[in-house]
Parts: sequence; C-alpha cells; structure tokens
Amino acid sequence: MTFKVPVGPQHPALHEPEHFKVELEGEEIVDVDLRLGYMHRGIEKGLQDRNYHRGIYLAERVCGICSVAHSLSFALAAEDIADMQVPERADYIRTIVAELERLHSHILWAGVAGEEVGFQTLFMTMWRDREKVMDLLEMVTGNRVNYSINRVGGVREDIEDKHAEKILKNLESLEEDLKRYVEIFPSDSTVLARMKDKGILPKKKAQELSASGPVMRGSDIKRDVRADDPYAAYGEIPFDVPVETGEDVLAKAVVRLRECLESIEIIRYALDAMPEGSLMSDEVQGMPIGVNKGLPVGEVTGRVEAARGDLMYHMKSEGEEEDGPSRVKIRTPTLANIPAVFEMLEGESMAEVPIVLASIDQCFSCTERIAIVDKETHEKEIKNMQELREMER
Amino acid sequence: MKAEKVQDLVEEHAQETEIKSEKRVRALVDSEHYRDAVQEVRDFGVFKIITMTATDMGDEFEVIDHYECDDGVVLDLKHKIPKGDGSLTTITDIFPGAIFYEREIIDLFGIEVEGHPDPRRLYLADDWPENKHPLRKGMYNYHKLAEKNISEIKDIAEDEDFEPEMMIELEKDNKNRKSLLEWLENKASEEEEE
Amino acid sequence: MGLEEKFKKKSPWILHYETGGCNGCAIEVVSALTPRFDVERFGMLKKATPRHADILVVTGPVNKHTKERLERIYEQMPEPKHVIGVGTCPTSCNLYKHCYNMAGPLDDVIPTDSFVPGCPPKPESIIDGVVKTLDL
Repeated sequence: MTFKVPVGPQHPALHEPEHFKVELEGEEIVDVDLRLGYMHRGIEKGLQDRNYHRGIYLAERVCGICSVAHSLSFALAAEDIADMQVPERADYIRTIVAELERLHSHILWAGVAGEEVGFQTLFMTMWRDREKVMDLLEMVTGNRVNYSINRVGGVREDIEDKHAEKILKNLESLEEDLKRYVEIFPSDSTVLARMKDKGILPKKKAQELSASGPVMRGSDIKRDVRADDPYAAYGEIPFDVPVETGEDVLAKAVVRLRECLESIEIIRYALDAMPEGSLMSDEVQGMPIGVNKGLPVGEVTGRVEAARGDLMYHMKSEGEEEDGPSRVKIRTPTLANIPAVFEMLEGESMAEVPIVLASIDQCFSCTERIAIVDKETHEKEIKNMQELREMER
Repeated sequence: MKAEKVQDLVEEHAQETEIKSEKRVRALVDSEHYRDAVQEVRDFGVFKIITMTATDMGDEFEVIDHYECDDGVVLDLKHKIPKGDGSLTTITDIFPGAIFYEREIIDLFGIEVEGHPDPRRLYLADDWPENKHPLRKGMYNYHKLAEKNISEIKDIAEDEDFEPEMMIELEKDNKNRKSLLEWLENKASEEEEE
Repeated sequence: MGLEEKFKKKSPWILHYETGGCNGCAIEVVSALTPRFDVERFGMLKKATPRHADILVVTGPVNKHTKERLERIYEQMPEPKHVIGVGTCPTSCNLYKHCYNMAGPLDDVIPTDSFVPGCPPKPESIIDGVVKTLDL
C-alpha cells in the first residue's frame, strides 16, 4: 500500500520550482513524479522578438543566481557567429566576474544545505560571509544581482587597481572562512549524520542519466567545460577540477567547497596576469550589435560552466538584415540533473527529501506545503516544511 | 578525442558531416538512419546528451541532438521532420537522459514522439489550450502585431498557421486592436455564411 | 490604536512567495534575514504558512500557472493582511511583459498595498518598504 505525497509547488526554487509527487511505501520512497511550469516565462520566444542588445538583458534574467553565466553564454554564441575577436582584457574581466559569481552561488548553496539539515547557525554564518563577495560584485559591476557586465563584443566596465586591491583583501578573509568550512563539513556530527551515505548516485547511473556539474563530479566523473572547452581566459589560467568519489550528498558538498577555493586562486591569477587593453572589440564601433546591424548567417552551440553545471546556448542567425536571433535554445544544468534526483531519492525515507533535493543545488528555498493523504480514510494532513524538518530530528 | 574521430563515427549514416572548429562537429542524417547514428554514438562510449533543439523552419521542423564527447568535443546531429504527419522516434532507450528533452519538444512544438514512455505536458500551464504550441512560427506575440499596420496584420492572419486566439490581449488603447477585432469578427461571420 | 494593531506593528510575520521570476529578488528578501541586515531584530520573522502571516511578500512576475496558487494563498491569510510586491516584476512584469506566459502585474491578480521597484531592490529598500507599508 503506497501513499502519494505532493512536495511543492512553491518549492526550494530551482530554476523552476517543481511540484514533486513522492510515492511512499511505509517510510521508503518507491517512485517520484514531477510537474514543472511554475517558472515558465516564455523566454526562448521572447529572445526571438528582441535584438541582440536587448537580448542580453533578457538572457541574464533567466536566473538571478547564475546571471553572468547566461549573459556570457549568449555573448559568446553571438561572437562566434560573427567570428568576432574580443580583446584579452575583456576576457579576463569576464573570467573574474564569472568566478565571483561561482563563489557567491556555492556559498549560498552551502548555507541553504545547512538550513535543510537543521544547522541554522551554518546558514547564518555562511550568508554573512557571502556578503563579502556581494560587496565585490557591487563594486565592480554596480549591482548585487543581474550585473549586465557582458555585451556582445566585450564588457561594459573595467576593473581598476583600486578595485583589485579590495578584491584581494576580501578574498583573503574569505579564504580563511572557507578553509574552516572545508574542515567542518566532513567532520561535524550533524552534517555527517544527515549527509553521509544519503542520496547516492552511482557513477554508472550518473553517466546514463547525463547528470551535470557538481552532481556528476561528486560521482567521480571529471568533466568541466572550463577545462575541456575553454572560453574567455580559462585557457591561460591553470586550475584544478575537484572530483570526489563518495557519490553521496556529502561528496557533492565537498566538491562545491573545494571549487570555491579554486575560484579564489583563479581570481588571484587573473588579476595578476590581466593585460592592458580596450574593453570592446574593434568591430563594434559606436552602436552595440543588434541596434544598427545584425550578425551574419550562422548556427552555433556555445557552452559555459555555470555554478550548477554546464549551460548550453544554441543560437541561429538568418543574416544581417535581422537584428535579432531567429532561434535561441537554452539548456540549463538543473533540468539535466532532475532524472538524477529521481534516482537518488529512490530507497530513501521521506525525511531525506529536503537535503537530497537540495544536493543538486536549486536556486533558493522558500515556503513549501506538503499534504499527506491517507489512502484508506482520505484524511488530509497538511504539514509544512518546518514541521517536516522537525519530523526529521 | 579528436573531432575527426567523432566525424568518422557518424560518417556511415550521415548525409553530410562537417568539422566546424576544434571542438564542434556537425552532421545531417535522414530520418531512417537517425536511430542507427545515435546507437553508433552510444556504442562508442559517448554517454552524455546535452539537449535536443527543435526549430520551426516553416515547411518542416529541424531537430538537433547535442552530444558531449570526451575532451569537450560537441556533436550536433541534425535531422528533419516534415510538418503534418511527420514524427520523431524516441531515443530514450539509448539515452535515458533524453526523456525531458523530448517532452519539451512535444510540449512547445507539438511534434509527436513515437515510443516515448511519458509524453505528458512539461512546461505549459494546466489550463493552456491543447494543440496550441507557442514556439511554432504562427504563434505571434501581440506586441509585434501591434507595431504593424492593419493591412500587414491581415496578411499575417491569412496565413494558415496563424492562431488569433493565442494572441495575448492587445493593450486597450492600441489603435490596431479595435480594427483587428472587428476584422476578425467579420471574417468569422463570413466563414459562417459560406 | 487597538491592542492588536499595536502588537502587529511591533512584529509582523512575513510570508514570501516567488511566482516565477529569476529569483534575484527572492535572494535579496532572504538576505534581509541574515546578519548583515538582520530584520529579526525588528521582530520580523519569515513564516512557512499563510495562516500565520501578516504580510505577503510577492516576488516575480505572475505567470499563468502560478496565478491560481497565489490567489489561494491570499485567501488563506487571516485579516488584517498586507501585500507587498517586491521588484519591478510584480509592478509591471518588467522585461517579460511581452512573453506568452505572463498573466499581468500583481495588482491585476490580488489587491496590493505597495510596490518596491528595483531589479532587484537592495535589502535595505525592501526593509524600508515593509516598514512604510505597515505605517499606512
């Protein structure tokens, strides 16, 4: 006899907050189903109706947490169609902002994961430390979220020496905090009890289901678009791709924390090695691309490593008379990880649902409602996420 | 893995192949050889499908599968589906990760996928009308229509793919709205009389 | 000022609902709880259920699928209640205005007391917005 428990829809907002229907036999999950659509805005169609310049603003608002990854991928695809050379300084600035974004995203995730396991203090301290990165982003780009730093052909703002000093100072302090967290996570008893050996995704399954990002790297698959298919300045910066073999939620968490430490090293190297030069390509004279002219005929696939996994933009252009793309296809990493979540949830108990769902890194966790319906009596008991978490303790 | 190796994989079944750059390979197959080409790719050891892109080209659909091979090489495998009774054959038995990507195509384009284990709606709202697929060419957004003059709108409305009910309500003070609605009503009553 | 009004002003309980935007404003609303901005010292708590909440904070543009859920959440909140739209999206749908899945700005769906525009507004603006709404 099985119960079906709906989880969501107003849910730990991934890219799209889903409505999961979890089927339980006793306490064990036997099947999971999913309803998407709560965040569907029609952006792919919207991009076809806009020129390339306005398209950047729409593309970067696909997600507030990985907004630079989206605008970078869009800009890279457009530049690829036109075969445009972007100045080196712009490449380095793009790399620095992208790594700052990866930092803030992973720390955000770690705080949310702490909250899911009941470790409220970890949530508060990590988000307090995250403010150091938000200050840097605001200083460099002018906004805390949705930075608009990328243009087709280059970047909009420069990183001057006084900015570089502040960046290095904040990163030094952040590095100390992160090293402490890297120690806490695998050794703290709360974290171990709730994250070790839960949400197991075997390597073969991760390959079969085409998982992406830290979910895949926590299962011993060493792939990262920054290393395999370098873009911006990653081809010139030496860095490591952290991989763990634990296959559980703890492994994925450790991968993310280690990636944060790598990001700090990448930013330091980039600040040191950044050459002088202009910020926009010579081919973009005056007006941004899309306002006066379009791009030549072409069809490209552009890929970028966002914080959650690999992000793909497929763009098609019908010629210079059209000031916008004729087709843009976006594939976000979270969609790729959903089959993996179903696999990870099978065999777990109901109490594990929050942390296993969180392990693929949804964007944010807000209110949730859960109704437990007894099949025999049809009595409904509404529990919210707070009460579910109390059930877990 | 070199791009040439990937090109060799699909050469047998493809109509044409092209190495676009160091990490990008393209191939065009016809529908009969599509599954064979996909099986060939899988047998070689490529396990990751990135996504499937569908585009409405007017008289046919183009579906591109994107695969990630070792060392970041990406294979774009394109095949064409005629409008009307054309359909896509599922590859979820070869690549289980493709399950959501095919559902997305069913939902947004209305292309049928033969053999899909779970062909339900993915993104569109529960009360979104059946058979209206937003990414098809005839589905116009109102603001583009609002910019055109009434005779251009009439030309678009004559096109058999045009779906006037899917037009989101034009802004109330838009000058085209009144004349367009009148024209559509007149057209509907003419058709009734016939 | 009645007793109820007086205590409500001292410590409003907030329910946050994201209707389908980019999540940028949602993060800023949660940032307002964290030690840098710390609304808890004003007595504001984030609650998980509409039945306990005094203020509904809505972020994101309302799309066709979440519209019904939003209306239901509004009905479940006890009186007196306030609704604040945070961000430019509930104000006017922002740049998604012409996209096919939008149901309109927030005040087309539920009665709204105030808006805090910005893309996203900083946490200080959000706190200011909440305090000003309570003074209304």
